[in-house]
Amino acid sequence: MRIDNIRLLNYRQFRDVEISFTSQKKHDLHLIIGKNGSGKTNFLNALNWCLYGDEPHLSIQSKLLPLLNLNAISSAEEGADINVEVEVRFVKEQVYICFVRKAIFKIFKSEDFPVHQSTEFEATISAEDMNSKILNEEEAKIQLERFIPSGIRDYFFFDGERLDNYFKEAKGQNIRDAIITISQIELLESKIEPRLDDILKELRRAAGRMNPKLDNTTQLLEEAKDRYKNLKKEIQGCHKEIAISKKGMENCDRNLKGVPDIERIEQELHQLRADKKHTKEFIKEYIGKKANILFDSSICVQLAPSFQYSLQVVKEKRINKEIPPPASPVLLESSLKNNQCTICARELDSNAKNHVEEMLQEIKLSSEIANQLINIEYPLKNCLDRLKHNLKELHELTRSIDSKEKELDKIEERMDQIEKILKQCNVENVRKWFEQRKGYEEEHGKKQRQLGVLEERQKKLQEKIAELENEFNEEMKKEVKNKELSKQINFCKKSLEIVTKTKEVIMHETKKKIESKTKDLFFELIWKKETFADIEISDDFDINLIHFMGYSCLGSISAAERELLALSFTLALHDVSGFESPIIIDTPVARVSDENRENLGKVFSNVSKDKQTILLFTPSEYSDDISKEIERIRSNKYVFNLSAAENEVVLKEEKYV
Amino acid sequence: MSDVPDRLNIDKKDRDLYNKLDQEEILRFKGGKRTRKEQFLLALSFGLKNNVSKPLNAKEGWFLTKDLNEEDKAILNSIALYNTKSVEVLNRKSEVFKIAEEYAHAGIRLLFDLMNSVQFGSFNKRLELDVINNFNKLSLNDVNE
Amino acid sequence: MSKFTINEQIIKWIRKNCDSDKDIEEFLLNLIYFEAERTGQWQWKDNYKRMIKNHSNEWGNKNEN
Repeated sequence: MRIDNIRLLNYRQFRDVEISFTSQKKHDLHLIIGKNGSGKTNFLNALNWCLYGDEPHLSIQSKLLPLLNLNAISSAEEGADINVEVEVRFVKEQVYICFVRKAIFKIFKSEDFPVHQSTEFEATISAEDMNSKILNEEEAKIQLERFIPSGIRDYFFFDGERLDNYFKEAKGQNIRDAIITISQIELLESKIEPRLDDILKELRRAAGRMNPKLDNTTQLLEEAKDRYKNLKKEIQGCHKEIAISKKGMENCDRNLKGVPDIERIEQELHQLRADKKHTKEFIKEYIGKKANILFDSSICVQLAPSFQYSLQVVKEKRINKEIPPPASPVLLESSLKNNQCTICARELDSNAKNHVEEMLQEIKLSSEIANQLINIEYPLKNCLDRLKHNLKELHELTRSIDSKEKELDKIEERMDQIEKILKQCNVENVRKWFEQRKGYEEEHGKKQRQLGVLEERQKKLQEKIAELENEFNEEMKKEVKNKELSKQINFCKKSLEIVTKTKEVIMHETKKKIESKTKDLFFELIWKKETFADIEISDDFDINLIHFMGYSCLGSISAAERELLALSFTLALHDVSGFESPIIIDTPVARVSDENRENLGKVFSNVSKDKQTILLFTPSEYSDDISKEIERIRSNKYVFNLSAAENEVVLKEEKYV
Repeated sequence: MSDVPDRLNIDKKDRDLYNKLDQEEILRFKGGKRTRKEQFLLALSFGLKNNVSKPLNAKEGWFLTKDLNEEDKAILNSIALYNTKSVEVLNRKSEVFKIAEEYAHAGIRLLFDLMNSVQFGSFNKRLELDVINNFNKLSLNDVNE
Repeated sequence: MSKFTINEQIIKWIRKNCDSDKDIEEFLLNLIYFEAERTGQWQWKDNYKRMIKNHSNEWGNKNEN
């Protein structure tokens, strides 16, 4: 199914414009080029207005203007009725279906805006070999829903500027809804399932009215089923929150990748500061000790020759007996006087007497000097011993100080490293991410625990429901007059079970198909084939793009890659749904850098081989990078310009030369 | 025994030099690191080591004799003995003190010049080097025999 | 899936899940086509009840045995 022709009459900037999209080439690719404000986005709005009655991409300026073309208003007479009409003609295999929306406005010069009178919407199906058939509004809507359902038109006509936010905004629920629509299980989920459930409740209540016990069981069963429904929603909500917190953790991990553990590092820095202080104090103390030893040693070592000389003198005097042995002159005098040794009381003979007299003479002769010499001996020896000891200690202290200084260098080096790390990473942000991650982790844990509790409750409730249903059935069997009612109840119940099961299987299958097709298309079209490993659609219908290193990288890919993913997903939807509808993109490369425009050009070229693709560019968007890929293969190219008064689009077709 | 003077003196002009020793922490008087006696002994050791002594012109009392301990007295006596090569000097304390004062008078100038000649912050290192070199020249093993 | 028909997958899985229970299969397929042809709130309740009554009669007899 492709758009063959669009006609706009008095719709906003379009006074009377007809655009054909013929395709004789291999590529069904069409371009519309126009500056901002020239009408490109309103062209998209016109399509939406025609098919669905709304204008989802209106700019703030356009919202202030009437739907009716300004020139048409100004040239109309007072009280005249003016039509706004947009016609979109589709074709498939020579069968045309033309949708037309027509709105009538009455002009009153005194009013700011024309007054809306009526709107009609209809469709005409025509073919060569059949009579045309006109469909009224209701029928036209049904037809339209069959190939571009309103709920998923964002996947057919979309604004490229929003593609960057596609997966930020397109949460799992949007994708789930899209899948429900395209697989038509909306039919099952929103209509058949709840209606069968209603009927079943009514039948059970009817049975209850015949038997009070049955009535009681029915009530309990209904209550239990309601609780089960609510529990199911709660569990779904829990799963979602678990997924959100998991994504949050992954996001934080991504931000923190390569970033050091700030808390641990700051603790290390704190410890290093303490170590530095302690080491410095140690060094200072040892330097002080060393200074004292040095001072003392300087004196001793420089005076050492005099010490050594003096000690030599003492030694010689002692050898020469000029320094007497230590003896008391009083004792010696007393011995001579008494002619008796004062110590042993032996009588002194002549030899002994001579000896004592000699000793006394020695002592008397040199007692002053001898004493001086004796007095200096010990301190000087002590000085020299101390000097030797000091030199050893000096050496030890020097080694210790060197070692501590090396330690200090290492501490300061590590502190520098840490301070550099802290400077490089925005500590505030890092702290924030760590805290966020902690928050997500706690939330994740909490929700997991909650899920466990809810699932346990669900299990018990399931058992209770089965028990009540059994009770109900047993009671029904006893009631002979309820045989027919019983048949209907069981039949309805079984049908409901089959519908629910069918719905779930199809959802799952459709999801898997879309996932697989998205993956195939993405990996076929992506230019960085080695970077990504997989695409997953989770049970909550969130899309994940998996990096070859194993993590989800949807949040960190470029705008072009995100656009390609959105495109692949959309094309997968088209493929799986079987809707052979065109794809129309307004400003498709708005957020894409030059180098990737060429890549996207190749992508559009590829896509347009199997699907009508209409792209609306601004002149600056349609740069060489992209035009060199698509100019030579495109079919129609139109340029929108505004008239001099800037209230009307002037259309120009550029044929391919 | 000859009179023991009650104090040791420095030349008046040396006071300024002793004050300037405060530039080096290891020699500093202010702040309580070194006593005047210790500064005096160090100056005197420089004088003796370099074999220079100089009579004092104008004397100024520097510290009291009562501040000398037994070791200090032994040191002064040994210097006088070394200088005169005569044990008799030990009986003449005024001469012992004079010898010490004259060595200190010459030595303070040498110490001051050394202090100024080394790069800022390297005085201790220079002292240490001198101590080690001087120690190595001594033959200290004979001392206690 | 062709232009204007029900998703074949729905038909396929309804049949499979009915597991040769022809009465329920027929009932559900009729119901699906019924709903597909109509939009908005139509008189579904009476129609549903009528269809259930009709289809369950035979079904009930077979299942009793």
